[in-house]
Amino acid sequence: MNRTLEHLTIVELAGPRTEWAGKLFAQAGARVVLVEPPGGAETRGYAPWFHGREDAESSLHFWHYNTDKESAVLDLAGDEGRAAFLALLGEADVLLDGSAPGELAEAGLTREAIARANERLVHVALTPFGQEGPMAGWKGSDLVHQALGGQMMMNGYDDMPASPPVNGQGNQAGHMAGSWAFIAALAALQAGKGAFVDLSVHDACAGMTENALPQYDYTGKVVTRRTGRHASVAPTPPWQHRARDGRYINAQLVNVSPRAWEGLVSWLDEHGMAEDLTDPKYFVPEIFREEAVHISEVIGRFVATKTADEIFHGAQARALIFSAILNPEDLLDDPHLAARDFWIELDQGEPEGMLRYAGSAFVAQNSEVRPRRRAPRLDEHGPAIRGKAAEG
Amino acid sequence: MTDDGGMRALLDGIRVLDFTRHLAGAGSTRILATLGAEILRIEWPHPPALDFLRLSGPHADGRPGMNRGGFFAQINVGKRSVAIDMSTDAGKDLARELIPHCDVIAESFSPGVMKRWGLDYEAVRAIRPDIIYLSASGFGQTGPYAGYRSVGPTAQAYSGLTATSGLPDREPAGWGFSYMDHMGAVMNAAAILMGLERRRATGEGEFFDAGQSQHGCALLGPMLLDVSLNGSQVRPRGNHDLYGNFCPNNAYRCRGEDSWLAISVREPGEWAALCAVMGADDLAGRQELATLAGRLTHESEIDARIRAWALPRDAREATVALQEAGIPAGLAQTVEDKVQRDPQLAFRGLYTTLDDPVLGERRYEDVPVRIDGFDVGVTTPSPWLGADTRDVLRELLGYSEERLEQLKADAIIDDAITLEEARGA
Repeated sequence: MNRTLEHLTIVELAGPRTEWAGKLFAQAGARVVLVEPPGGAETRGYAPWFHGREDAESSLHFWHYNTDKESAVLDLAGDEGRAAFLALLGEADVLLDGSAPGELAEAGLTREAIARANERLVHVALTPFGQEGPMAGWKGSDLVHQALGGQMMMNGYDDMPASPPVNGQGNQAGHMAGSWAFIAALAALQAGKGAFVDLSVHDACAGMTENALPQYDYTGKVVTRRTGRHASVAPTPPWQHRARDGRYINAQLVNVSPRAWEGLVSWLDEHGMAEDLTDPKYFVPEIFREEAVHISEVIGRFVATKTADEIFHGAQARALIFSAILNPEDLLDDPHLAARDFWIELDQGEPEGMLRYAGSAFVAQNSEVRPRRRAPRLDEHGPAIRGKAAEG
Repeated sequence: MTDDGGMRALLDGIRVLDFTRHLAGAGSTRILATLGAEILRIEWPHPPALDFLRLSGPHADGRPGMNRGGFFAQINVGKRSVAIDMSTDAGKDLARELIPHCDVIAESFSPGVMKRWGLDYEAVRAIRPDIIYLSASGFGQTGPYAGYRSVGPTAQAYSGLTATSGLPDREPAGWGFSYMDHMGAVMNAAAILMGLERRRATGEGEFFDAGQSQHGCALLGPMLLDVSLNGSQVRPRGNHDLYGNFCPNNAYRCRGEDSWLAISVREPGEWAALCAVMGADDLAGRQELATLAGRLTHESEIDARIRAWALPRDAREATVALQEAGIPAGLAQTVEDKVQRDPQLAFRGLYTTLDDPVLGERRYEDVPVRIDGFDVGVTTPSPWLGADTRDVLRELLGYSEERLEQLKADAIIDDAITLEEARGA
């Protein structure tokens, strides 16, 4: 099957900020050339490692984010490297550039020089705080961006005094900003002429805190963090409960339909654990809200007698939006992901052979969006790419 | 520049027939609206085509109403609202008549609703072969959990995003908001744009079956390979980097109530600068701490030193001092900090104020990109339910006033209400 974006060519300046956007293009079939500095991309040095092997070809971080890409080492501080880079840009649709503001210009690659190399190029610059402004020179990290962006202050515990706000793990600042880079690049391509996109990771994070801004704007009140659930102005009942097998359940009772409520109560009643929830008074929204903590406690006592899986599937069968709180390794055997072909095998070459990777979450009907090839070894495609540039 | 001298939008001429609701769905068409697409929200004041966020708070003046929800308004800026009763045959016919005029259909109902209305992908492509069609749901259209219901926290719990965030040996902290509603919206917009880009190259349409939960799984990042190839069990490490790629990497309490400072260090130069700012000559002089690996073995000791340094300090002043020395650092901001005291967000104009006739002057989160020569961002307030029904049917289908009156009399459509009604509605 053809691949969704197989007609596109992307040049990606290797770095932690560009790699997710580059992967989104690459898994959709675009040709993505990863331009690495001499010595390799910074993220070739990021853990976790394959079987504890700490070298430039064994970073699982790098493997994950660079599937399907080509690698060429170009020294942008030298004339030859710069010429090869500009030649590459000449045939590219998009440049993903995560360099700090002014860093490329210092190497002689100004915005104008890049635009001259290809007037149709969409140049996406991802910087921590944007190209200009009072904080433009500041540095970020996943933690720092989620702190300044407002995510952290919404995550944590309200039943544990003086506990810190908590960072959402998994490189999410990179995902928020990188996904926007992908979106902006594709949108700019629709306009059919070159463009310079100035993307700020800080903006991307700061703009994704759900209801916090409307709450503040309409009520003047600031939401505060609650254990395992939404930050809010006023206290809310717990919705995480520990199941019999030690795993937790997310048992949200937001917008519960009468049908779902009846299903829940009769389920508890079948096990003699409904307590007083069979009382029809709970259909009155005000009483439901007033008794929310009590309801949560009754559900908690029921959850403690079942496994997380029993609660997850039993609740969903009754139209409740509960889920088991799965650990990442649980996904390996998850029947739903298996049925949707989420996991794939990629050939890692010698000596590793075929390895199990996560595919993409995009399921298209007429074309394909999923990785097909392992991440490149350092400079794997460099000789061919530099040779072509020299012939240029 | 356009002929009339105005700036162009990136998605000029792209029209979306929008059956999405909530943040994960309607957030995706919001993104397209900020990039210049025309969004026709098809809605109705009763389920399933009612977006319950229309009724959710916060409300203007604390008074509920269909056109008074602040969160709904945030998600639906820049769109047009067309009120059609899709439970009627005439309503379904009307939607079908609109399809040839649209490039994209996006929907976020439970699987099966669009098919019942005769508007599933196969039916729509028969009318418009190059349509880009997005079905966004909790778990996707296929697979054993296809019928399962999901909102952001469900998707986060299922995907591993909740379990991996928190303090060690505590129940998960997870996410204190619907992260996967935001990222669901972002990924859904990305899918639609991939479809549009492919159509630009090939002329062909595309269908995307998007599952919010599956997108959550894909956002676990390198953890996915760690569990599949190393057989690891990933457990929370608080604010320490899960894989030790940064050290120190933590949040430290500062002066004042619930005030915290995040610091991340990777490079030797950053570590030396941190020691200098803290006046910690003894730490700077210890060779084993110059490397990341060395610092990781002394993580608790380093944390204790920074904790003691940070505690009497103002988090904002400490942030500035550290950043000026080249160290990645930042205070944990509340929404009030971001709105009132963040000079960079103010400089870039992340918060745009729009004057809504019902809601008044309100702040809206704008886009994280600036693009020379193009108009991007939030432009007009969210529409009242049905505000654009008549205009859209006149413009696109050439309906006469008589016909529109008849449709309204038959309760097939609803239309723009007066400001007074909108305020009360």
